[in-house]
Amino acid sequence: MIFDVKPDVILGGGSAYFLGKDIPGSKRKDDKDYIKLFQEAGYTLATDKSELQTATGTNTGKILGLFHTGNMDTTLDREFLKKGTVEKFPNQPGLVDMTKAALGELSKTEEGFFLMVEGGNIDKMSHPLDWDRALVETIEFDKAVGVAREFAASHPDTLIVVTGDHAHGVSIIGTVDDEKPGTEMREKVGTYAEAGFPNYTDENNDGYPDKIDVTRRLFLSANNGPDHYETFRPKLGGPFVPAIQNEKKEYIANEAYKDVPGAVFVQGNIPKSGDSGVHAVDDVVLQAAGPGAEGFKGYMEESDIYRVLVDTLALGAKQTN
Amino acid sequence: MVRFHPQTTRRTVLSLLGGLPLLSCAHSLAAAVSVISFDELYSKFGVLGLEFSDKVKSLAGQEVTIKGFMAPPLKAEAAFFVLTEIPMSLCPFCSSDADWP
Repeated sequence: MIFDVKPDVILGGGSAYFLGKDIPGSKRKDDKDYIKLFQEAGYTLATDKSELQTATGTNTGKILGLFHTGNMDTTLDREFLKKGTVEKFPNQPGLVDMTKAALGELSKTEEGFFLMVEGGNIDKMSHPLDWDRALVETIEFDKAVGVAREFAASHPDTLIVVTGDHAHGVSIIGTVDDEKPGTEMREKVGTYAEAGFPNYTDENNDGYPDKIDVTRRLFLSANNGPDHYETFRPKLGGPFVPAIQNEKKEYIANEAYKDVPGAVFVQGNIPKSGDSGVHAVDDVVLQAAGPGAEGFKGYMEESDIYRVLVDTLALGAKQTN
Repeated sequence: MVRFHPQTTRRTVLSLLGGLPLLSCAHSLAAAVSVISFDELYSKFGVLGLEFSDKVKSLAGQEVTIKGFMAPPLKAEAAFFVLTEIPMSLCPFCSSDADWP
């Protein structure tokens, strides 16, 4: 489908689905080699952060950037912990790098452009209840919005729309404070005024916490999920895998987290066929700036968002000149 | 949620098929059959594909011994099976069989 549409810039993971099936690592079941097809269609290929940088300097105007065979690693793993699959794919760009590259390329088009930037790992880390990774990912998403706002400052004919496509069943309900007495972790959870403020620091001023496993950290609680162990701590060894499948195809709590000091068993409340937390129907926030932004107001159905976009881009309107 | 399990590609699976029946008689043939481990399958992981190790390449067409765990067949009529490094019950990424051959 992407090849039929041929967007000028495509950046992300999942190269296994582009590689021809004869190449080890491919997940294709047909005979198509989409990397070759895209290259033949005039795309410059980039496979890591430096190649993306180089590709943005070329004049082909089209970039296919594939930076991982599967899901790209999270900001927390890429930039700080070096866990996940960072060892195999050490030079993956982040959402900010990709947003900058895409804007640089698309802004060359006189007729304007549409760019969709998804902080996909916010969702991908919320499913396995890995809140620390989801939070750091949200910081990077915020920085990507910052890049767009900077672009809009010098290109005032730009509409920026920021929203979520759904919510997850999770909320920040306070903090966990290791300094509190005892060994029972739930007694270290602070709620309401007792929560105080987390003690993350940002001494290098990069916008990210210098350290994720501080002694008083945000506590997020899910309202749904599979059987799992709540460790009350960031997962420093790699993304959280809350549940694994047994021989009856049921998801059971992953014993790998059982012996983390203070870990407690949390009984799941979704069918045992579910391996992770699920989406929720909560209303989501939408914020917009620029021409057409006044079209977003009050309560709106999600399916009406595109009407504002269509009006702003004057799609379907009779051209008079 | 999309999952990716790098250790079970169609190529790996098919290339291993010849050697697997030998597991049961590995003792008597140990001297003649090369042993290979999951860690030795690939020499390089990259966006543009994985690369089989020199050991794998040099053993092409030969019988090999590899220890692993049989995954339950996905289709009754399948003429092959998937060999995993760790038992399915301990392997969080093995449960999404949608991408398997």
